[in-house]
Amino acid sequence: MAAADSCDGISTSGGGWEKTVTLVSSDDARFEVREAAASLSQTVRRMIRAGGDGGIPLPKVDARTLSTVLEYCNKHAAVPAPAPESSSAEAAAVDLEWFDKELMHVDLATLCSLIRAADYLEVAGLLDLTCKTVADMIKSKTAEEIRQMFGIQNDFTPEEEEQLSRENAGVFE
Amino acid sequence: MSMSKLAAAGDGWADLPRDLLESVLARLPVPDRLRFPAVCTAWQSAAATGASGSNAPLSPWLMLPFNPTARGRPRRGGGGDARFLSLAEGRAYAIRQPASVVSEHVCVGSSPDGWLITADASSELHLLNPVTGAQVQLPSVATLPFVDATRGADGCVESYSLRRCFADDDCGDEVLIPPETLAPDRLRYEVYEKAIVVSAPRRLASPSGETWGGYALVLICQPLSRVAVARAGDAGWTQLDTPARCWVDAVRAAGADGVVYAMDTAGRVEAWDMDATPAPAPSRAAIAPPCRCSARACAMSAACRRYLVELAPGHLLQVHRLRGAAHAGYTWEPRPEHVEYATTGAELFEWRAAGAGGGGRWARVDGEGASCVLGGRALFLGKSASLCVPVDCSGSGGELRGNRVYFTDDGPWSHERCHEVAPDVGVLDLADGSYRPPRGAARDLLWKWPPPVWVFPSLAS
Repeated sequence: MAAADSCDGISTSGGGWEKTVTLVSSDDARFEVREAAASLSQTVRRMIRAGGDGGIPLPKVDARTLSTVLEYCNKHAAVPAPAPESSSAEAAAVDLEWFDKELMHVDLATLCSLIRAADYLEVAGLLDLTCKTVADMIKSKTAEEIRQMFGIQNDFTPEEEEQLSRENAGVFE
Repeated sequence: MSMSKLAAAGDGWADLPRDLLESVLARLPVPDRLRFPAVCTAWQSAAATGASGSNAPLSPWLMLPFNPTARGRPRRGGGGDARFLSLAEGRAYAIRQPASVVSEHVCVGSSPDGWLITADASSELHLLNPVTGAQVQLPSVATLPFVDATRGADGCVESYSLRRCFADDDCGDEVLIPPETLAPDRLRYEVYEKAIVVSAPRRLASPSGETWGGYALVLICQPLSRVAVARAGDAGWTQLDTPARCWVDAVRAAGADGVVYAMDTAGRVEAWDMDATPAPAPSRAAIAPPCRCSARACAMSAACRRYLVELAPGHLLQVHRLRGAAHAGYTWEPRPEHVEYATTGAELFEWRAAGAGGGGRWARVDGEGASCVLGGRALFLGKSASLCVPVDCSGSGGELRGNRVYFTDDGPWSHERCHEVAPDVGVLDLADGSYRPPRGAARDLLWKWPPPVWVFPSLAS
């Protein structure tokens, strides 16, 4: 990992040589990414360690989703190690929070692809962010409202539904 | 099937992998987690397996008294709805409870993991999770050494006798005051001060069905404010031998399993390790000396209450709740026998330990200092576990704010007071000293029964 460490040092000074990796999406789009950013994905990190040429294939992620994931990774990998109680670290944290919020301004289909991609690529921070976004959307909604929002089929039998509504009777006021 | 096509189509909300649904579920507050399974079968099965793990922050609810004149709702199986005000959301929820709980049980404790300790109409204690309906029977009150039960032919308790006076060894068998006889539903007001869950019950699978084990409880009880403990599997309560100590509050230690900090009337604190020895009595270690209270009213009056809170592992705070009798409102005779109290303020004392060698002192904090010590968190005090709860400021308004103390009425209780006096429930703003009922609950607090208590809802059990 000594090589990767030296990469980080160069990337912060800017302009110098940086080790990059190539990721290949399901629809054969190629993305050249700094290794430090790509390594936020545990899946990619394992594949880098395993070695191989000609790019890392990611057959479960399409180009559009992958570009959003990489946007997240680039941003989060660029943040220097936090120096506690410095004002710049605080500003960086605020900036990152704002970036995350903006990134989640997507339609539901994209969000669904993102949450799956974050899971498959094992980007812990993005998985947390997307799950939290979904949870915030579900909050204070009834089952029917949730179904409508996400386009989910109600696949309960009438008997099961009767049972559920009896259990949930009065959970709301 | 091509995964890329599925992802591109984006219609995969219903068949989202279970672990993803579970991590969404873990971030939801309790009422939404109750509704989650009703969406579709996939979400239902995710909720069934994912119920145990939750990293959602504590969201305190106030269990509201019910309106005895309300009609209309059919009661199935004798159960009824208990109503809860969610402070963060500012809305009330009604949740069906097991039979007789709503109308007859009174809460004598409430744990941060969602359990209530309730006393039923024959003064027996139970653990109850009001969200899931899970119930655990606790050892009988008749196993306390100063309580005797007289049972009828059917095994039901007809009356209890309570010994308030204890003969010293020197006095031989001489008993100065004869035992007092109490109706089955009256003993609970005389004996139970507060119950603290030191270890929450765990669900155990057994051939005969589901059982609960692993729990440990501390019970502060009258007369003389003594302490009894019970653990899963115990046949009865074990009274601790602490002569001349009157215990007022206890909290579980955040940093150590099975350890509880207990405080007496003088403000002395001890740490008790419930797991240290195989014997029923815990091992004890002194932590802090007595605390001198500056308010004369507090030191002199039984109406004032003291609470012990752990802010961070080992970082203790004691709160003295100052109350005044609110009899002035009565202009006619005869005045009611029960006394109404209203909270007038609070004094906070922070434990400042002096290095590793032990020692330290209780330091009064107020105004700026109090805000600094709480750091934007809120205190929840009453019959419930004395808790310091982080407040999420990003929430949409709501009643939950930092640097405030949320109180429920915790006595002194009697049957008459619990049924006839509006409970002293309110929010004390440490910045300006104002005290008012929680918004959204004012109308409900015109009703008295059951006495309101803070609930920290959880689906974990």
